[in-house]
Amino acid sequence: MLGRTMTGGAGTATRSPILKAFCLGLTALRRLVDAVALLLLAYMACAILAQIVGRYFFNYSIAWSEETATFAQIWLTLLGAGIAMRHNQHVGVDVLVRKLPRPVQQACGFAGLALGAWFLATVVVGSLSMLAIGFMIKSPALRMPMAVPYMALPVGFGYFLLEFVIATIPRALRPETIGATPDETESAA
Amino acid sequence: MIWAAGGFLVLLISGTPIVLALGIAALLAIELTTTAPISIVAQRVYGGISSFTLMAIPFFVVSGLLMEAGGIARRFVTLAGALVGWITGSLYLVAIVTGTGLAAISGSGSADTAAISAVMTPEMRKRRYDIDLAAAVIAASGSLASIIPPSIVMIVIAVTANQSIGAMFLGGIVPGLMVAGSMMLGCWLYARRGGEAYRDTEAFTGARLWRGFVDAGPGLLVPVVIIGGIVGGIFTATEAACVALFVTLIVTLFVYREITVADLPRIFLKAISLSATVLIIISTASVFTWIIATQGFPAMLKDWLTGITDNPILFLLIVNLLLLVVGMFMESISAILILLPILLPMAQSYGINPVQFGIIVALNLSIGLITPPYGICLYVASSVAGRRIEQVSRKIWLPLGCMLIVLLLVTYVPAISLWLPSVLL
Repeated sequence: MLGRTMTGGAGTATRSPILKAFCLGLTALRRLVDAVALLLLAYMACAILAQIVGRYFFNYSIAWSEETATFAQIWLTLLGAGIAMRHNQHVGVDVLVRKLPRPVQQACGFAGLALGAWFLATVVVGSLSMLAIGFMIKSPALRMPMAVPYMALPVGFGYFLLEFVIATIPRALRPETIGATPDETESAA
Repeated sequence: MIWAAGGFLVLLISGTPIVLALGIAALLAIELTTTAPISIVAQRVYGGISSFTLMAIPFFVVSGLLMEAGGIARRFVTLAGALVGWITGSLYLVAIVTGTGLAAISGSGSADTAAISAVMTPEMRKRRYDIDLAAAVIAASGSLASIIPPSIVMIVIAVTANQSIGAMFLGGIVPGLMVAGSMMLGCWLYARRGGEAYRDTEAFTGARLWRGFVDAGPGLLVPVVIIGGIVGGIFTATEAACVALFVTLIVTLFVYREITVADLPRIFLKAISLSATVLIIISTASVFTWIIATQGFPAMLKDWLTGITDNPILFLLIVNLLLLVVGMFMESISAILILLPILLPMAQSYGINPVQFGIIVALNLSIGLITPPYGICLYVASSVAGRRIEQVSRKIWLPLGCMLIVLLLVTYVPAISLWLPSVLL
């Protein structure tokens, strides 16, 4: 949701000035991510519509629409993954872990946090070498540097990592809150 | 291989989101068993989503959510009431017809289930229907969304199996209508022997049907655009999804007028977030499928299974049982991405058509949406009805039985899924 502020365990944030600044920064970042995501979706839809209109009404094939829309989609997906993390919408199976004793649940939670952060950080680091090559190779239609879509990897996965850590720390500390949010009943498929 | 599969299962049951469980397991396997540079992970993640065809998914999710916010479910319930409201056990039938209609507009089973539940459950409770059976029937009606086009599951299957989305979409129509028809028959037979509550029906009038049709009509433009556009060769699936989005936008903003421009950012962001959960699984799963493929796992499984049987009938039976069990515990998209690349080459070596095989997979996974313990449609319908999953599960046999019968027919009669694409494409 637009402008939705801190969720979960950061509710005590107002006590310390550092945390307060962090929360303000986070809210600003989230609004920025939301706004960019909305623009990307709008661009994608308009580019594809332009392609159809161009083909049927002006008998003119627009070469760049498909390519740029695909780039927009990559950005949208990778930013969207972080947005979905914020709203707790990535599906997981927590029926079994909830039956375990509390300390074991906490251990599972922190192990999941560490491993998840490891994977997300690996993608961020690994994408940097792709990015370096991406400045040299050009896209087929527009001759745009491939760094433009590649850049979505470090940015998107970096944001995903941030939201993952924010969402997972309180859940690992207090496992009994897992599954209490209504967001989990939604799925795209 | 052991690391990838074992790690995935442990992470899965410990509550880690599936998207990360897939990535972590793949990364463990790469680190422990190969010398591949670590940037391969980022490359695979990128390759997984760099696809023009997959763009159809966010478009369909947006138009589905828009229609829902625009009040399409209520209109379809009114239309369905005019169509089948005169039959014994009318509300069950209305729920099924509404589910079929919504499935033709949206690609998401859980969203459809939530929409039907919200409109139908109060009325069913008022008329003293069996609320557990009602929730079970609504869950199954919602799960039709993955069989009847447009379907997110079908798009993922088509992209993974390298088949035309149009053929998959058309192939799902007849099986989807068969599931709806058999459930209606089942509910009618049940209601005929049920209590007095089921005989409380409304008379059929042409005027009422016409009013219902005029009211719901603009929403029906969406399936016409999608199917007509793809069958007529006017659009690709991605373009059809984009046109469907604009049609929905016009219908909800200017015809139905239940939402305004101010509501759009909220709905769009929800759609972005929901479709990202699907697309990001595709992206991390491509790391996972790459590592299990490089370790020769698909070939191993193929040798093992072909060692058991060279009979396609038995093979399909094994595949169905496997998919039904997987569907009970796993979410559809990741199940497709992990299993389809392994199972499809085997199916083709038995001479099974890939489109038919894709429909079989989709049908199995849509059954997985209503089977406990992890059936998202069952979960949504139960929670809206205010009943526990175990209570609703006791009545799931009726819709489940109907779906299983159709699954058997689709598995062993290729024409059911292949006839329509062969005539129209």
